[in-house]
Amino acid sequence: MNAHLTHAVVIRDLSRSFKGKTVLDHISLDIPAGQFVALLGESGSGKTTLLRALAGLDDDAESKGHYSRPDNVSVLFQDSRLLPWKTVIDNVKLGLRRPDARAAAEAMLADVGLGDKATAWPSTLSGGQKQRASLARSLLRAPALLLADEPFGALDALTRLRMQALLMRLVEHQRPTIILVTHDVDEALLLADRILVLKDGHIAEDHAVSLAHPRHQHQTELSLLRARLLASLGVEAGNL
Amino acid sequence: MARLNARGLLSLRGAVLPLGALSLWWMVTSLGLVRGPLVVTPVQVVAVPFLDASGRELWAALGTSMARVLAGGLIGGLIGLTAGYLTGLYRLAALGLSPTVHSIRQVALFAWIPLLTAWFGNGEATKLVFTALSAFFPLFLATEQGIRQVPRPLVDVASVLNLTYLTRITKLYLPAALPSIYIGLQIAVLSAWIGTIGAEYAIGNGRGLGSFIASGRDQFRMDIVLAGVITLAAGGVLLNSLATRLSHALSPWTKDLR
Ligand SMILES: Nc1ncnc2c1ncn2[C@@H]1O[C@H](COP(=O)(O)OP(=O)(O)O)[C@@H](O)[C@H]1O
Ligand SMILES: [Mg+2]
Repeated sequence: MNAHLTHAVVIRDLSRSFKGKTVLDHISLDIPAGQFVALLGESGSGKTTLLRALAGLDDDAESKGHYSRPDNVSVLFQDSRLLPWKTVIDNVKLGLRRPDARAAAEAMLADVGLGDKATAWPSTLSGGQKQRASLARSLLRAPALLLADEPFGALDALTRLRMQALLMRLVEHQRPTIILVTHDVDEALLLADRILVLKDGHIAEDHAVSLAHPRHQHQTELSLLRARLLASLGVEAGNL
Repeated sequence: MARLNARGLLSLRGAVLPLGALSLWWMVTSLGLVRGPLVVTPVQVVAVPFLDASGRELWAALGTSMARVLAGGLIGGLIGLTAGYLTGLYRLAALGLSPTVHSIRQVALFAWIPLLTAWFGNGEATKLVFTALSAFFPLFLATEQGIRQVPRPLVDVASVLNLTYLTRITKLYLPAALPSIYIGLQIAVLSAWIGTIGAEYAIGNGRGLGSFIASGRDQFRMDIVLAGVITLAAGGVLLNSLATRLSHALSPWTKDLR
């Protein structure tokens, strides 16, 4: 890799454990600015733990090692985590102290297809709409780093495809560095520049995916990588 | 008038027992089946606040008690809210304050009256402090509970979004604690009302619904006592509905859940 590339995220010997049980074991990782990284791993392999460490949300873990990352970070959770007592637009601009926050939030809502839901209560939105609002809240801050923890994991297949396309369209201009945790190998293959597999507390695999967008599931390069990733996740392709 | 629908009729079922009791009372007294100086008819009770010189004092007494419950309740309620917020959010405050408050709470409310009269005398101060105390405990407990139950995922969001301290209080902790605070408010309002009337009744001097009932009792005026008690109940219903309205007005996002 090019030595003078600026790295947005640098992780060195990062370890995390809970009550003596090691979840992350001396992880080191460099992520260039603007790279879209997908993080795969079996359930319980520590994906969320790694993301929460980078988000600064893990004061309940025993921590070792260090990392650097941009100050301007947004986190997208699997559940939308909108405040039920704030309208959609107030959720999207929550805590923003720009004078044009409202106008910017309106524009962002229109961008995610929720232009007509600005003054609705979150409880009146569908799961996909909530996640759109959550995405709008994350991207309105123009983050340098977007941490996403299975953001589409709870959505139905069609909605998930639409959200993936929406995400790609929205980050095309902003170009934040992205770490997307997912359990969906195809999602990783279709979206990411680089795919990591977390296993036994460390990064077990690290693949670059240089194929141009838009991608299709049936492209040969992707099929080969898919078989390999599934195998490393403990699923033999072709057994279904 | 709108036609009564099935639901309206159903909601009238609850009125059967009180109406029955009222007719029985009316029948028994006006037919002269029971007699005595303490026996009064419903008509007498309804008329006394309008037609009787001592009975007319009811209105001024009610006004005074209402002012007292609002003033004392506001003071005690705000202190309860603040203290509950602090102990709900901060370990240090919880360690320093909660055990004391929780043990003081074990003292029956009316046992405070002798102590308070010793400290604050037989006047307005004792009544106000007692009312404040009655409102304090329910709001303190409810707020403490509500703040402790703010969902961790939302706290994470606040920290990820770098919310300022003030924003966290006003947009996260207080709204999240509101459902619990509302329950506390309903209890506090009734408790403060009972506290006000109780203090007036026990201390006896000065104006107020409690003293009005006490003086009716001393004059063996059963009609005045009953009119006072009915007003006391109506005042409670009024305050309760005010508290409910306030809660609803302050939490419009629960409209579809009600
Ligand atoms: N706050 C915590 N306290 C105790 N154990 C935890 C905590 N968070 C995660 N763990 C444990 O760490 C391991 C990894 O969890 P997690 O990072 O959520 O995995 P993944 O997101 O890959 O499914 C699991 O065994 C989980 O039980
Ligand atoms: Mg997880």
